[in-house]
Amino acid sequence: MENAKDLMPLQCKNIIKKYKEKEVLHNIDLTLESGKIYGLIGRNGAGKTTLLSILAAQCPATSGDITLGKETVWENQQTLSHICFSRELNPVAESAIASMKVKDYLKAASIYYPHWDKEMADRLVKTFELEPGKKILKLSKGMLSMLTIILALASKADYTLLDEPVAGLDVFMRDKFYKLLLEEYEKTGRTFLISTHIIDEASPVFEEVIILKDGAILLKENTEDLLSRAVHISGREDAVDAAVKGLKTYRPEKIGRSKGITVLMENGQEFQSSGEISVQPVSLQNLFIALCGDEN
Amino acid sequence: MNEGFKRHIHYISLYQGKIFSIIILGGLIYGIFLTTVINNPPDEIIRYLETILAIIPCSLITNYIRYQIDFCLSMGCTRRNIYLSIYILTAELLVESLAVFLLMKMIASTSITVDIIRSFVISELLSATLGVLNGVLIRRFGFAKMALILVIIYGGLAVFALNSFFLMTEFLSSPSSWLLIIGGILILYGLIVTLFGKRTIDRM
Amino acid sequence: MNEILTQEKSIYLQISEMIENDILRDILLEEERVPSTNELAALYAINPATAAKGINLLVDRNILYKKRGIGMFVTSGAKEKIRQNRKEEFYQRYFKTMMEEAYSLGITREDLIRMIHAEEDKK
Repeated sequence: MENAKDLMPLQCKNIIKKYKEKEVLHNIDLTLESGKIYGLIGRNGAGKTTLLSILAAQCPATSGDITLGKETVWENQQTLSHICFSRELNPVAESAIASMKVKDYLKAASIYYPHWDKEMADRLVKTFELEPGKKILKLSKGMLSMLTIILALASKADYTLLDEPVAGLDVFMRDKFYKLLLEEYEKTGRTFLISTHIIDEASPVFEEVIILKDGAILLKENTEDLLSRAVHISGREDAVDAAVKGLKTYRPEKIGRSKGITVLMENGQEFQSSGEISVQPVSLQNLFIALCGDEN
Repeated sequence: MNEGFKRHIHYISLYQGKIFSIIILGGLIYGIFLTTVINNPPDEIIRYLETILAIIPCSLITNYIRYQIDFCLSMGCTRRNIYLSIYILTAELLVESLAVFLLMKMIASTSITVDIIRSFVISELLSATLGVLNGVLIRRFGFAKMALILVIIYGGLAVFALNSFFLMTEFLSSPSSWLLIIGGILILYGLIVTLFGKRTIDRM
Repeated sequence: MNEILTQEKSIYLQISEMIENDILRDILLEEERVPSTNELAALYAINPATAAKGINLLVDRNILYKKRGIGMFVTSGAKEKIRQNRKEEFYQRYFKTMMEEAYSLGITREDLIRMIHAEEDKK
């Protein structure tokens, strides 16, 4: 891998964001080390897009700092040239991008991103079968996603943030995206932070996962380590309760005398297994639902 | 000037090509209309058309602020670079619009000669090309040199527009205060727009 | 290779098990090169760090070793080592669960012994 790994981390320190009087991000501290693929998951309205936007200095935080290594990011052209934020494209009828053609959009990108790889962009346009002459307003949701993916990959930015890049893509295209992402990651060691709702599909690609709940970071951890701490226990209610005594539990489900519950153990903790309970691993999606569902 | 600003101006210059074509077209139609279609057009029509012509570049700047800026920000452009580009864009449009008005005034108030029309077309094409080439010029020569080149050329344009003393004295002897008013409004508008643009960006 | 990944177990453990299975089945021979971290990551669409973790686990167990600049290779005697490890794991993996299940169903020791004899007679 090339010198992308030499870059210092991208950090949020004590970020607060308020819209009018409503605080939507509360004291976010986040460190993104270079050379990793991070997943960002959270419910709609949790603040993912706002957080990504603030990290990329496209939206000002109400207070707090964003730094890349020792440099601040806000209004700093030098550091900004290392960051690409590929947000969901939403061509409202009057917006600038609506009347742009695909090739105009990519031409603009080639102007703004100093490390733009035109050859890669052209190749991806062919792979995704996008028509360069088509107006963005006329693109389907899937094609819009493909365009955001091309922007993200061909920008060759050291820190690339993608906001829901697979929205609208069918399963084959999503598969293609993960493969392209890993290919690019292996070649360059760039850092990626990707927000997604398609959790289980994407989780094997994420080295670390960040869960955002109600504007605060619930956890940030190596994906495999996190999942090894999570189990789902079910059986007769008293047996389950005995087994999970002293452990952090989430989302109890009851029907009749049977009970199921999700457990997230701390390092070193164990539950008491017995013949009376079923113990099953928890997928990232189900863990997320357990941690961020309404019942808590 | 930093790299980011050069890149932003490069992008803007592509966008400007469209604006300038509209200005030239508007100016040409105005001038031709006044001098060929209507004989001795009444003052009101002249003022009305001039006002419309003044509104076109201003609305284009407003359009830029309302829509393009969001796009530029999403591509990683800093707000400072956007403020600077608004000042530049506004200044350019003001200068060039005034040049258009002056020339149009001259054409409307004197007898047309083929020379005048030819010179006008050439000067407008030149200024439009410069607008489009801004990006290239900045990247090649750097901001300072480019500014110098532009000042010389636009200055020359203005001088050319006011060139003939004869035309000027005739022109000024029946002073068109309306032109001065429009010029004043444009400058005021330019100031308001740059302020408005700054506040719009700050609120994003 | 080419087994499907499940949600049932950590991905890196699945990777190491798959490689071990292939060694047992003579799909990967001793002193032969094993797919690299990147090749595995691309094949299964997983993060290379995860693939690396699976491979490193096997390096720690002396199933694989690294030839600098060339890649990962199966150590001599790996097949036997895996068999030994799995014999020791047999109790945890299969036997214990079977015993717990048998107990909860009321299957006695004698029933189990009878089942074992019946299986052996079939062969």
